[in-house]
Amino acid sequence: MNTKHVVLRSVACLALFAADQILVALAVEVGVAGALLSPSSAVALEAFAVALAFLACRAALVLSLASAAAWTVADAVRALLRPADPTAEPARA
Amino acid sequence: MRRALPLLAGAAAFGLVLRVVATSCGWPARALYDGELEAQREVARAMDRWVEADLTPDDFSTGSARFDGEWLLVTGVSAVLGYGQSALAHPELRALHAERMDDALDAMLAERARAFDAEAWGRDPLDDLGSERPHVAFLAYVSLAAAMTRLVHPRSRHAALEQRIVEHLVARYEAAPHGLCETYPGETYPTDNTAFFGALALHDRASGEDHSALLSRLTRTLDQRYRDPRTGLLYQHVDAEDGAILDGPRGSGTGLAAYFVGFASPALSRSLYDSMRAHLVDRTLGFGTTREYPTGEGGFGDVDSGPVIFGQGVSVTGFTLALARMHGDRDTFVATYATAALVGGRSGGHFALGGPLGDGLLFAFTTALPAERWEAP
Repeated sequence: MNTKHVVLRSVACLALFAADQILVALAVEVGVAGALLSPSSAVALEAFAVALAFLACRAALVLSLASAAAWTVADAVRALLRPADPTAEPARA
Repeated sequence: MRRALPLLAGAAAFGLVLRVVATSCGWPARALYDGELEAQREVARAMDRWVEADLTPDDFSTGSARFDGEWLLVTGVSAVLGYGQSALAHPELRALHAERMDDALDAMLAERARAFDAEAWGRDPLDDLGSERPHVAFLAYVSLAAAMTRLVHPRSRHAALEQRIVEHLVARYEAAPHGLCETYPGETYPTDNTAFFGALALHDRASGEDHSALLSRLTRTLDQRYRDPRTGLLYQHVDAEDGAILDGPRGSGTGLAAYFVGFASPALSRSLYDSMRAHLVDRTLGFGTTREYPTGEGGFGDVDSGPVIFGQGVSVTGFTLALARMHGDRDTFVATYATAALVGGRSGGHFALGGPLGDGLLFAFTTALPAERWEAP
């Protein structure tokens, strides 16, 4: 398992988390309420953009967290299995 | 098999993390479901901000004056129901919440807040009391909020107006040939009518009057005539003249009606929720969502449903919260709350994407009382 990759994944998740928190605060500040619910196209562009950015960032954060965990666990299992792999020994010898 | 192990372990970790996220988002729902005082105080405080802000239709930039007015009205009604339900659950909140309910009603009754209905009917709804025009769009909702206020606070400054509105609507429903009245001229929506069914039941509890015969007829007609026989869901829109179906069974209409009708007939509310559970309510990896259309049918979102994403409706998913709490469905409540918190951006008691309307609806729905509370005394 490559430690550098684990750190990089963690940093990416933290960066997305920070962006998510900033966008939540911005969404409350700008007042994006209803930007995605309104049936009309007369919604302010700024509100619509912030609402969409917030949703995209939150989806990216959740998927990144889950993917990072999946990747790290898969790497760990692969590393655990490697010494016990009988086909791997002759290749190293 | 050994080669597949890392992949399987990774997939399991992926699912587990989503489960953990759902559990974390749904965590505050446990205290809300249990009706804990502090949890209800927190959502009430979030609503205080909007009640104190003295909102106007201009605060809702939907691009349509009618929808701006409707959203302001629903925000006010939701606030009053939330304050009322939490005051009934926790009598120590009664004095403070009674004041808030009257303040919210003041905002709802202002001329600018009545304008959307006055525009549609050509007459102001309050000046038109006693006429043959039902003004269901405004009066059914206001009567629900005013009746809840009167129940919690019998000496409310709006009690006399509540009495006049109920008398006006009772006369209209007694004359209604199909058990429903018009929301706007020529437009009849069963769900809007159920706001008055709930109001009439609350009014009887508050005033000691007895409209049980009328109420029983109205709820029976709704049950027998306006539900889809295949799914049990409520029709969204019917013909004002003869009650014929104009828009088929939908989640948003059924969900909101099941909440309103719960004040009048817990059994009918339960039956509508059972239909939703059978055809609409989904749960995946700890997140709960509710479909707008039954399986096999589909459509786009509108002002009632909000966006419909992969078949799941935003509004009806929110309505499910109230029904799950009313009918003792803890798992659905927690899972649905997890979705609302994740997608709505819960922050400091508010929902970033919800604004006043979202905060109001969540306040009313998360404090909805168990249906047994409204069984006939």
